Amino acid sequence: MDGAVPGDAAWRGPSTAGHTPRTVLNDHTPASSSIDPALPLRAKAGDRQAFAQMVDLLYPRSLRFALHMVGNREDAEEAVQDTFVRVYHNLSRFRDDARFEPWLFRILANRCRSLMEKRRRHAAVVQYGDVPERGNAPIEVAERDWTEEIHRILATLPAEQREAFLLRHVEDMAYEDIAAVTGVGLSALRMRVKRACDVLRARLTEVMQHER
Amino acid sequence: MNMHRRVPTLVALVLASVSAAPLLAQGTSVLPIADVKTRSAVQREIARAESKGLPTQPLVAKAMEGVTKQATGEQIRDAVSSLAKRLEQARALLAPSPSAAEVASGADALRAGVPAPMVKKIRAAWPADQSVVMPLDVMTELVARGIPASRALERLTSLMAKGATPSQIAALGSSVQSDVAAGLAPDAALEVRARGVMSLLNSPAAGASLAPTGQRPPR
Amino acid sequence: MSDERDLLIARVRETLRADPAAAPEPRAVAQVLQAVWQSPRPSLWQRAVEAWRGAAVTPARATGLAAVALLLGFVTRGVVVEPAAPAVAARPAGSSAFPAQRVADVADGLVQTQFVYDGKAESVSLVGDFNDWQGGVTPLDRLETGVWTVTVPLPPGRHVYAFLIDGTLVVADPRAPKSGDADYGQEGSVVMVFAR
Repeated sequence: MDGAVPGDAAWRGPSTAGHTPRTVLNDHTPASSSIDPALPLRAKAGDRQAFAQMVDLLYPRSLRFALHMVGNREDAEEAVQDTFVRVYHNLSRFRDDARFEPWLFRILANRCRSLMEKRRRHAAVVQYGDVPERGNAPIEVAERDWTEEIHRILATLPAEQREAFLLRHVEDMAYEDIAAVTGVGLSALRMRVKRACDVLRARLTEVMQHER
Repeated sequence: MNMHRRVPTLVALVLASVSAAPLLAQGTSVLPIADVKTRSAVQREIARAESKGLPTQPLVAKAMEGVTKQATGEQIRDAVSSLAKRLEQARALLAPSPSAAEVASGADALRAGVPAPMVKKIRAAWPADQSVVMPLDVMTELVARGIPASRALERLTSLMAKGATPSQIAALGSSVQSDVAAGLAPDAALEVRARGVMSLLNSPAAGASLAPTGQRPPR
Repeated sequence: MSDERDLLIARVRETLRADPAAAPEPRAVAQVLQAVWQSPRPSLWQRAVEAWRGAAVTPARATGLAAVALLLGFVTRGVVVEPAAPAVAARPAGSSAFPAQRVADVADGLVQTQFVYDGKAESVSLVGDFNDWQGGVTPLDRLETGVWTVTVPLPPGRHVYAFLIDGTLVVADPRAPKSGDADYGQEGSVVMVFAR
């Protein structure tokens, strides 16, 4: 796939004729909102305010990751809440010199895996939450279809590929951190991410060609 | 189609085949599920739904459907719990105050593959003081007949915007259903029928005569 | 590896990062914090998790709630099914060719809907979302011609149903479209009920 950068037509994606691609991205959840390293230490020392601040900062990313992992909002919210409860009660085990986010995502990824295991039979029906409305109808449908298509393809990926892809490309984590989260070696992780990208690229290109 | 019933191997389920009294009036202890684990799981799910203020009759019906179809305990638990999720999602989509029937219809729409944002869109396209059960059910039916959800939504919402009544919307769903059964392509059936309703709506006198009940003014 | 610079992957990335479906609820953080502050200490928590994971743990409170839930749910949905709907005459006999369901007579918002089964059986009953799929509650009557029929009042809307033959065998209505809902690996049939 080296050098295979889609041309303009491909970039427009399934949004079809008349739809201007979004150039300004409405990125409401930053890729990596690194928290002040002092916060977990203060929380560990019993400062509730510090813990609340951490939840506030990390909740959106956590929910986004969980939603894209498990595919439905209720499970995602459950996983995230559960994760923060566990984090809180295990703060004493958090090493002072460690970085907090990989630790959090490790617990979160585990929660998502358990939930997915529990819900495996429902994997075929992927329900995402509410998407706010904007613009007029045709654009909305096209834009939504594109997002839905990505959701759909994500849901078909093996969980370990989805996890690696989301951590690398959406959460913007370094491979070393992903290794800490997943407990998997670097080369295997790279392979997982690459496979996920290959599938996404192939399926989305297919969709775009079909649309045109 | 598999007409033969499957024999459950994991759990034994018994059928309540004689009692004509409403199941619900008898309390959960009579849910005719022999397997204790499954019965408890279903009861828990129902209690959870109740505590969230969700309608519970659809959950009972879903569990009973499994019993009647002699499904395994695991299938019943899965079906009930995923329906509970859909009910909750549907209620959120149909906010602020959907009726139990509307929530149930929303959940059915989601099950049929109607994307969540479209459920919300249908609610928004229909007068807030009127039950949205019929538009949702017709959307479900159109999608179940193989019409792409975006196409079905487009047609339905344009009819709603023109002031179509619940009966007209229902007639559309029913006609498309018959057309498809008669061999017409689902897309073509929708186009033809939607155009038919639309032409009636554009002619006020004809529109009124087609709609004996549920008449409402165009928005 | 070009994935990092690939425009298509970049767009996937941006779509997922800005995914409106993943936007938190306004009170989500407050709810999480509440759950955190109210959660039991670890040893207890561990026990709670184990108890929750354990099979067939049914708190008495849940059962009580469930009973109330069942009653409420039944009332709120407002579905009333009379066995064999006595007030409504069945369609004339000799009509094995008449449609799967016929709709007529609106009363109290409910629409009398007739179901027909044409096949060999000792007993036939109607099961569907409107009678909680309870076998035997809505039996069909056998006409002289051998055709089975029943008329029930249903609320307008889409209903999924099937026939229960001899108390055990569930069959879809061969004359009606399939529901497309196969939760239990067996589709039902669909009727769209509305006042004409």
